[in-house]
Amino acid sequence: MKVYVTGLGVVSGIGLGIEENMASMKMQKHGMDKITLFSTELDVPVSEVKQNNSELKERLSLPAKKCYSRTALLGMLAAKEALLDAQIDPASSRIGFISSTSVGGMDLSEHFYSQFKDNNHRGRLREIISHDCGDSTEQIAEYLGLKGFVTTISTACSSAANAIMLGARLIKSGYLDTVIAGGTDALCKFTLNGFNSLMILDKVHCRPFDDSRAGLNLGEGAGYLVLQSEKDCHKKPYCELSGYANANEAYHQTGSSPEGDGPFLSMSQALVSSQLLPKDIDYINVHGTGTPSNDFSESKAIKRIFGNQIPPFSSVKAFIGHALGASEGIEAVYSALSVSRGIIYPNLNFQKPIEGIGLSPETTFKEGLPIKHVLSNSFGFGGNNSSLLFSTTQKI
Amino acid sequence: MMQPVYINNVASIHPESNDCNQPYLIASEPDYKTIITDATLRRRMSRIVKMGVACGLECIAQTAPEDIHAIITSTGLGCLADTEKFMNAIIDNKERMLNPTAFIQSTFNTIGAQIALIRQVHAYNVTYVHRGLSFESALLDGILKIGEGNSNVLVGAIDEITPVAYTIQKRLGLLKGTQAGEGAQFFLLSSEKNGKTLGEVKGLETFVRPDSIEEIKDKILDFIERNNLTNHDIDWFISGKNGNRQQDAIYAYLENSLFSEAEHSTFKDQCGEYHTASSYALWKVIKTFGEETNSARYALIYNHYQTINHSLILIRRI
Repeated sequence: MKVYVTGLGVVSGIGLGIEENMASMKMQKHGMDKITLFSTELDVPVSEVKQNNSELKERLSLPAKKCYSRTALLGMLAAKEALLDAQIDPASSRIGFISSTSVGGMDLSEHFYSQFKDNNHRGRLREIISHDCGDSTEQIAEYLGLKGFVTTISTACSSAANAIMLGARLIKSGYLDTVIAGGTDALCKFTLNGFNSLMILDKVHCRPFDDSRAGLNLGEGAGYLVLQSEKDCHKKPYCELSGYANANEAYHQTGSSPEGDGPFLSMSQALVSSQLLPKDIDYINVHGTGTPSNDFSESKAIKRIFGNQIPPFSSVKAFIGHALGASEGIEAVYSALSVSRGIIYPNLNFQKPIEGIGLSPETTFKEGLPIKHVLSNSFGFGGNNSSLLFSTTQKI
Repeated sequence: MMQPVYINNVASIHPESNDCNQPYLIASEPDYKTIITDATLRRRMSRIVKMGVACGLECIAQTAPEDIHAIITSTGLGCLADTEKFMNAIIDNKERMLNPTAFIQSTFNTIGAQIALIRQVHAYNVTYVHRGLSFESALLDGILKIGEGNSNVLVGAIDEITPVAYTIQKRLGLLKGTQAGEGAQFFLLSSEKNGKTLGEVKGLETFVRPDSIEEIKDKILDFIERNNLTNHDIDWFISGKNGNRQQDAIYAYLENSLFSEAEHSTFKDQCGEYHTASSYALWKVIKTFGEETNSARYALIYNHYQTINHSLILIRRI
């Protein structure tokens, strides 16, 4: 059975909605700037969604006084766009909502905790009630009027790919007809300090796949796809989700293997699942965080699979940062648009290929290309590696 | 509903006695040295990580890594102690010179990842984090995996209680009449029966925010019928009663209506209340199926978390 992508929604540091995101890509306008969302001792660039929580609530017509985690607000905006885009009735019990996040409502929890820590009677309870990862998912589902199956996935940076994968599998197995799947994550002190403690944050704008790359920049946002079976597809789909794979590298809790074993497994298994050959791939949206080890091992894996016929590839992380649990939600939206509009995204800040690798990503925005198959990667802590494959629709 | 899903092995680390010095139930932990043999790895692990990893490893001790086709874990709140530790460090050290270990281990997928790392399982690996439906989501994924042609799938649930989590849950009013708890349970789902098979997962259903008790009853009846049974076939009804009078009324109503002929059991008096407590109920059912004294053919576990997340797990004795 085929699974079609019939709705898209995205919020990132380079815009709200599909068209703003595409316009920024075209103009090569990135989202990196100083942190404004919270006070911090760290001076690193991040890609914030440019609207504060009050502005987001206003856009969503939510009561200004009610407390929502930023993770939920970003998710609501993107999921709403996807739902409207697909023109589906949210009340159907055959519609599922699968969301992913790496930190849930941590943006509020850490504020609560700073007051609670020294006095356990202090801290506003409305700021801790949304701590668990399921909260943002249920808030979004309630906001959109979704009444069917809901669940939440958290596998660090590959979370949203796994949410999309589960959505496709639930449709194929007949459990559901339509699934809204993707991820949402808000920037917070906890993750910023976490990545800083791992010493993988670049102090300046990140440079994925460049020889001088020195780390990643964090980002935030949300991205969702509406997946539907053929019989429930009422509009022309963007593309088909033709393949996917999830493999565990089982090498190190946070590091990547030097030969790219995990990326090799997830990419090659995704190809097998879609019955495609490496030569069929027209573009790879790489994970490309900009850390020395990720880009090195991902390159190795690409070379192992594609040999000397490496398709055009690029990382969008220098535009939107690494949005963790939302990352592949956003990038899956970009990948679906890559197929439907024939787009290749530019990889910013690339000058010199990685020594000993020699791969050069695409550096200009291209549109209207005959793109049939796009591979999209996301790799996370714990060796959780996933790849998705998007293809042009043959029939509809 | 689906192709048979057998439970061929189980493991659990759960509270075994009520320690009167604590306001909540704490898991009685084994000596981890013999299970997690790498001392360096073990030392870095927090309590929940050790608990989950040890429990998962025990469940697949007799299974070759290449025969394990998925590792699917679930947790409502994840690695709380590590999360608190890293939050404290951020505040105490004013964001400077932080040790990354607590941050790394606070990630929700740490336990599933560590099991894969220790046993070198390169297969599908995912973690569910959806409140009272976390374990059920993992179980559903496991059922799908078996349906997709895989032979062995490890499915597990882990949650820990900490003094901070207890204080917050108490302030939120989540523990009225209820004792908080914790534990780890893992299950080896298989497509084939073997000599050790004790039960089969016949059906699984979850729902959120039902409008009335009548709607819950209808959903349960509908679920049983979809599995080609009637409510009279259920001879063991296991409910998630937790001591909260208002919330327990739902279970009592079902015991007196749909399941008046069945044997009734509870489990949260043993494991305490937590997001993935229903995994303890499944463990208990499978364990009891192995005992001569129990003759139930069909067991139904019905659980709800704070009346919001509801789940039904139907198990057939083998």
